[in-house]
Amino acid sequence: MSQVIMETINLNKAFSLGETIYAVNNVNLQIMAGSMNVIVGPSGSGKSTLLSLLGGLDRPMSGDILLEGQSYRELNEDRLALLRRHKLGYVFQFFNLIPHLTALENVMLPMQFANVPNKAAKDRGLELLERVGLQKRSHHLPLQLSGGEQQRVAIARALANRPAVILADEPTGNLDTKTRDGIVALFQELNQQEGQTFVMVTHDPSLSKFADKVITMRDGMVVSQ
Amino acid sequence: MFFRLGFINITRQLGRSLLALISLVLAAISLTNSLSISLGYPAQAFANYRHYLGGDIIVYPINIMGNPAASQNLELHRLQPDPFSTLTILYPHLEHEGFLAPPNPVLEPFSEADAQALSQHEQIQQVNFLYRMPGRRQILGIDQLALSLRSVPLDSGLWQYVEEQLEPASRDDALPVWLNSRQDPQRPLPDVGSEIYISVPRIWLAPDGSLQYDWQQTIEQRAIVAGHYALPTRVVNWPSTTGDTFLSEQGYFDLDEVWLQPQDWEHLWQLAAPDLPPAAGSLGLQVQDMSILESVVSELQVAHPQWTIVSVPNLVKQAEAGALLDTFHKAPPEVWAGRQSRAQRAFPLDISRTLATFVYLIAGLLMAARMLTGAAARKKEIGILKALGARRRDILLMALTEAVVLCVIGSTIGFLIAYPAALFQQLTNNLPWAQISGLLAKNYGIILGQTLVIGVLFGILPAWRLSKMTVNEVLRT
Repeated sequence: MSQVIMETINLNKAFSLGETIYAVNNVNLQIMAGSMNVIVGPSGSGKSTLLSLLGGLDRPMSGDILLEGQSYRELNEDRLALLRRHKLGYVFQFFNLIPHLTALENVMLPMQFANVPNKAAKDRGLELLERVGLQKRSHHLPLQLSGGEQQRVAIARALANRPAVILADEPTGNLDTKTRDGIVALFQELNQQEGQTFVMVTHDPSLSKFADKVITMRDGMVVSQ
Repeated sequence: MFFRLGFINITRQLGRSLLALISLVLAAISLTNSLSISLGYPAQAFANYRHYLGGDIIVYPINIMGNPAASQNLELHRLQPDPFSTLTILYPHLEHEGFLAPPNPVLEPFSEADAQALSQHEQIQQVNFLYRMPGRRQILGIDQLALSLRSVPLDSGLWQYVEEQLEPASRDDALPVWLNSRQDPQRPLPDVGSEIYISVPRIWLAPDGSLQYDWQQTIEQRAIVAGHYALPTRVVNWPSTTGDTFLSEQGYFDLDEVWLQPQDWEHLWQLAAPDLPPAAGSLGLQVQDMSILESVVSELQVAHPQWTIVSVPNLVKQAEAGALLDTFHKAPPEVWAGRQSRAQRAFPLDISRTLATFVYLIAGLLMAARMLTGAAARKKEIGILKALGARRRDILLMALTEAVVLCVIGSTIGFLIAYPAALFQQLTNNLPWAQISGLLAKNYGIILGQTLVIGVLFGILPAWRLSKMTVNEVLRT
């Protein structure tokens, strides 16, 4: 029986746009270790906001998130940054690689933040690039890579510090069908073979197909899981 | 890693970085110039004084002691205008406030035996006598201007100085500038080469060994002015009468002293003091090792407590502290003789500091602009780094690296471009190496410090603002 690795407790996030709009409304979730979790729902339902909160990229209005028992609420900005560094990996829809660093340097970046020795970081970076099928492209800049290749580099970067959870925001949303299939297969492989925990926001039914849990959101609320 | 990202950002934004770097270089050049004018100026003054006073250490024939608590045997004296000594010029407060000295100090002229005693010190290379006597310039048989008449031997090196500084043409050029506190501008010194009438007092030796002057029995003589001493001071800027432009002129500090050729001076002395050998009012000592100048002064002062022994650098400081070299008013030539001269009193304006400040402001703004232009790309990059776990201090460290690297390179290049001129002046003025290296380090330190303060402040503020935003805010924008 796997354990709960991440959970939200009465999580709320509201924006004031003339009137108060709840992007995340009293959400209670449990993410199990080694599971594949997909958040779906129409645009504006609060999926990405929830993912930002889970990733510690934004602060909730009320409620709390626990990652491996550590409460986000108790962490100041610096300690939250350290939590992101060591325990979370993030994959963005638009890849968000640092444009003037090579693929290998981008992958090494989180490890260098974590003071991993350069040699070890390089070895691990090359290993991860090989894992995502880009060992021959390690010295290319992001602009010299295709969209699918950039997203593979971003996935390798997210894996760099062996995070507890990888959060992905529409990871296939900006890719063509063929490339998307490759990325989906990669996620599936990482989840099933290596037991990596994923929480993804997606509209992509192919990702939902192999999810352990599909969380449906509407108007900021979880309507099914 | 954040250091490296900072370095990479400099080369990534090469055009903007170069622009900021050039502005920092210009700012450093401006400040170097400004500093070398103000710091190099005492060095120039030191060299001039040394040349003028005949040595590195000057010995005066009276001891001026400082602390009344140090001895009960001291009395307050006031310094009388003493034509033998530049003490009255360099220490003007001694006339008003007085000084402490043993009772009945005697102004004895220096003898060969005194020079011999001083030259016993191993550091003393040469002892020069400075011969002066009091005099007054006469116009139409009336005494007009109190003068000190100084004998200047041909081999003293000062003649070259006269040629350079005091030929009539340059005197005319310099005429509109005067020192308001020390000299009456309505009675300028006679031109070099002109013939003047001088009256000198009878001079006799009192039983206590001091020289006495009798102005009731004067001797009138004609003499040709061989030179007088004009110390170049600051370059002064002042607004023209139309107010639309600034004029610039070299300022001079004139001493009330006329130089006579030795034979003329000796002839006058024989007439004034037929029974006395020429009396020296002060001695100039030349030392071997300038780096231990002050310790030589201390040793000599202990060995000869009856005299005042001062190093020339200290005299320069004293002169500066007394504002002798600084505080003067000047009038533009067109209003020199007119009634407007009072109304048109100009003000000394050192624009170099203002210019340096202005250029630094521009450099700072360019540093800020460098961080702010392409703000969207910057924001995104900062957002990604924060998402990957960079803390606020890491972002600031990255921005700090960029700013510090640019500032160190900019200030060093600017300093290297501008400082050789000041260095040349110091080297050609025979300044001791210890002083040259001290000035070099001090100037570089000031320039690097100021550049860093401006560059870091303006460079880091935008990054500080961006680092405050949450990752989501940054990535959304």
